[in-house]
Amino acid sequence: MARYILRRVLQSIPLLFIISFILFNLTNSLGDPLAVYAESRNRPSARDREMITRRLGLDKPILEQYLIWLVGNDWMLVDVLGDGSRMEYGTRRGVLRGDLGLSFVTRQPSWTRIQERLPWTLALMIPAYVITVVLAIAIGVFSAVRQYSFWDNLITGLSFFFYSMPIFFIALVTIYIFAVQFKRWGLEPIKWGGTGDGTLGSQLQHMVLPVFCLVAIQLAGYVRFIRSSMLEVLGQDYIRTARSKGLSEPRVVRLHAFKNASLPLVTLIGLDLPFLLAGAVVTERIFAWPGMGRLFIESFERADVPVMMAILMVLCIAVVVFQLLTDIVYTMLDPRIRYS
Amino acid sequence: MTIKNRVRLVLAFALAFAMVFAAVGAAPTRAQDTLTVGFAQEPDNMNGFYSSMAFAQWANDLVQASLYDFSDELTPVLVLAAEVPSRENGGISEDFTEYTVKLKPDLKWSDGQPLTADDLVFTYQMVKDPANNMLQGSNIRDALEEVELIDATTFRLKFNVAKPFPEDQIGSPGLSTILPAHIFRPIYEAEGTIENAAENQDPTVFSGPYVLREWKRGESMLFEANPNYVFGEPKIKRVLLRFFPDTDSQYAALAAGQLDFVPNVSEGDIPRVAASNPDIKITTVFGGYIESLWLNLREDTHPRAGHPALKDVRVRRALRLAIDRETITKELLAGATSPTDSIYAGSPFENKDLGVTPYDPEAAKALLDEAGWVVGADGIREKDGVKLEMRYSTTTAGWRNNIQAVVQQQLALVGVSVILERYPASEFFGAFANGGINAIGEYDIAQYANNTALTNPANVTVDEALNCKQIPNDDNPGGQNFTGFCSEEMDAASLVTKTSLDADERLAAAYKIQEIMRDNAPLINLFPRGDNYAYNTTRFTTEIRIGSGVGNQWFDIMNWELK
Repeated sequence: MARYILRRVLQSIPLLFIISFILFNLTNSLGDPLAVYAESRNRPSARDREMITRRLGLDKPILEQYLIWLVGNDWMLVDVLGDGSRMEYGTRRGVLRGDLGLSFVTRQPSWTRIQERLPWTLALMIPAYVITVVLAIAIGVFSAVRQYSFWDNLITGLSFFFYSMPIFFIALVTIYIFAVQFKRWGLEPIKWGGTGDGTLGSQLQHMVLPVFCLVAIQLAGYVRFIRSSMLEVLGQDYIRTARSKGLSEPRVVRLHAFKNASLPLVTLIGLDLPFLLAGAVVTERIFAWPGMGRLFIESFERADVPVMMAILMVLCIAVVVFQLLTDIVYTMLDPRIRYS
Repeated sequence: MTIKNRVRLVLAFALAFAMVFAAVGAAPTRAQDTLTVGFAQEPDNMNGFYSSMAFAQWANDLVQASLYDFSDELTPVLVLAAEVPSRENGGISEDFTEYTVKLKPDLKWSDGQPLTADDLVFTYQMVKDPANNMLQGSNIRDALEEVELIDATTFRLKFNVAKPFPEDQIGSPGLSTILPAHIFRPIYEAEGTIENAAENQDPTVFSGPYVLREWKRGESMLFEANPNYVFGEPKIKRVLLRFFPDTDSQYAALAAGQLDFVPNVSEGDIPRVAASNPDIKITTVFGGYIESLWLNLREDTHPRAGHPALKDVRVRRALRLAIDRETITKELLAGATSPTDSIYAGSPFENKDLGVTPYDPEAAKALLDEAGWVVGADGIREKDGVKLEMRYSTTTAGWRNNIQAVVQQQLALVGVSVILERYPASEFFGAFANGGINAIGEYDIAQYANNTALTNPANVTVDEALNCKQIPNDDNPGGQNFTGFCSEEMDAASLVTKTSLDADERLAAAYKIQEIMRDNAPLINLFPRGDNYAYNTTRFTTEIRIGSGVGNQWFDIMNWELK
């Protein structure tokens, strides 16, 4: 097993290099970080814009920019003023030495910007995901056991209803009803927008609407997945055997059917978990939640390449790690699976 | 599941619901002495020299006092300066190369340290040192020769050329931030630059009406009244800036009473914001921008040449006649602004005698016929086998795209076909070297805003974006004249507006520029863009005064009072 893990880790290293190179080229082609000054009231002069371009290293060929991003420039002389009059060693250490670069926008380390947002994203995404999975298992199993019943049809109908709705629509409708209209109706509106005043109670209240929207939009897919997975297992011979040897139905469903049906669910969760780190772009934006999704979209709008690259690389590494963990969990759930 | 486990499950759910509802009930109501402001973007830096972002400037203006601001009527308001220097009061030398500036006595930083002329001298030294890599202050940096400390409340600036506009060197348009020397000097002495100082992101010492108490990244900034402010402690004790990147949710929060004040309401959103709550009032102040259609007059192949028809001034004038700008401003922008032909619109230097070109599609057709562009079988004009079909590009902003659609219909009525193109701002405004759509000429008509003149007739748009020397090409990639328009006469007049020491001569030059632009139509001005503010009238005791785009929107905040 240890050899297997080591092999997988070693295999992922060239993969991450290739991905980083592709992403670096893509993020650099998204736009010009200096374009933000075009309609600015205090637009920097043409000379100052040249200075900024040089300072951000954008005057260099893309391959050189990538190498500096990778290995830094503290070992090479940099022309600080652009006229050769002042040559100094650079200050970048490069990603390979733990320096994800400085944000073009705030001049803070990219990692600092991620650290500011990551806890808030997890505070929103983990409860939403846990609620989604728990509800989906309960509803999916219930629906499968009572296939084609009234409740199964109702749940299926509602699943498709929410599944087909765009998140921005659900989000704006919930704001309109629970915040704007509640106030007009004389009810206490549910607070939203940001994370509250710092108390746990306030934070929980501010989480109600975004978590509701995230659950509503994600639940349907999981319910459908678990239902079909359960239905497949419930038709197997060993389920008939379990029933015929006199086991109670809840025991058959829980121990024999669900445990076997959960294997594909683990794959799905393993694929989804890394993306919890990415946050939810639309939900965070509408509910003004200071998470990673918003950070990414704000960085995208200002072509802040170092922050975008930092977020994307964190995600790539998370995907690799979670895929490995998923494979390990497989061996626990299914004794037939062994890696060597 | 056993009965016991089911009971446990039910209890767990009940507890979870109870916690949520307890939280709902326990949520504190908004403090009555806190002004809650909605910002669409989060400031990128709290040192005004390192940002050109409007929201960062607005946040900075809450905590930074200038030497003098401008009011909503564009008149100077003394803040830290004892007087606005002039030749008459001896503050400016006869040749405009030397300013002597006096501060008010007994000024203090928020930490109680004295704010003296030494802070101003240090600030100018920092602006001058290229090692600081400042985004702002280039007009000071390029001209400043020497800054001299006279005494605790007096300093002197010496320039290498005449500087007839003191506001650009010492007023809030040119110098909106003053650095606390006792904080920044040790950093500068240790590191040789203040560019990466933590104080830029998390400032601790302030001179303005408020101090920054807490910055919750991505969420809000909390400001508290500064008891050491030059005008005394403001009546509103706290200002909370909350970041709402989605405008729909920002307007919903305003309608729901969660926000008191929202700057930067887009013209296209004014009707729905006003209708969302009868207590909301919209106020528009002079913004200093003009939305225009820029015409690609370039002839070279790289950057891309514009449509050949645009070289003919008759075609350009016809396009101006064919666009019903009155209807656009009334129907799409709720009448918040009105059409203009002047690059000085809204400023004291606008020549109103020149009037505004009326909407006259028949005259437009006649001009196009005269220019040889005749209507073809498909209804589109053509000449020598070339169709009068143009690419009309702008950003992805919704209100701009609405205007695009209307202009497309109006031009179709006179036989001009336009293809609409939209780009993300970072692509549209990209630099020439990076293949920016506007810079490399991938358009025939481009729509975006330009800066107009503010407190003086030196117009940055005329000086940069319409100057013969600023046409970009491979030898001049930093050029800013993307239209390719060139008029030696206008460049000469522009120089006069910048350098003449005679106010009448400068005004005459500004009028000349407006005439040349009316006659040559290198661009079609649509309308001046104001700064639109929405606020909840039930929160304020009286009507509030908001500063213009020239200086500081909060210039009168010490007189604002909440109910």
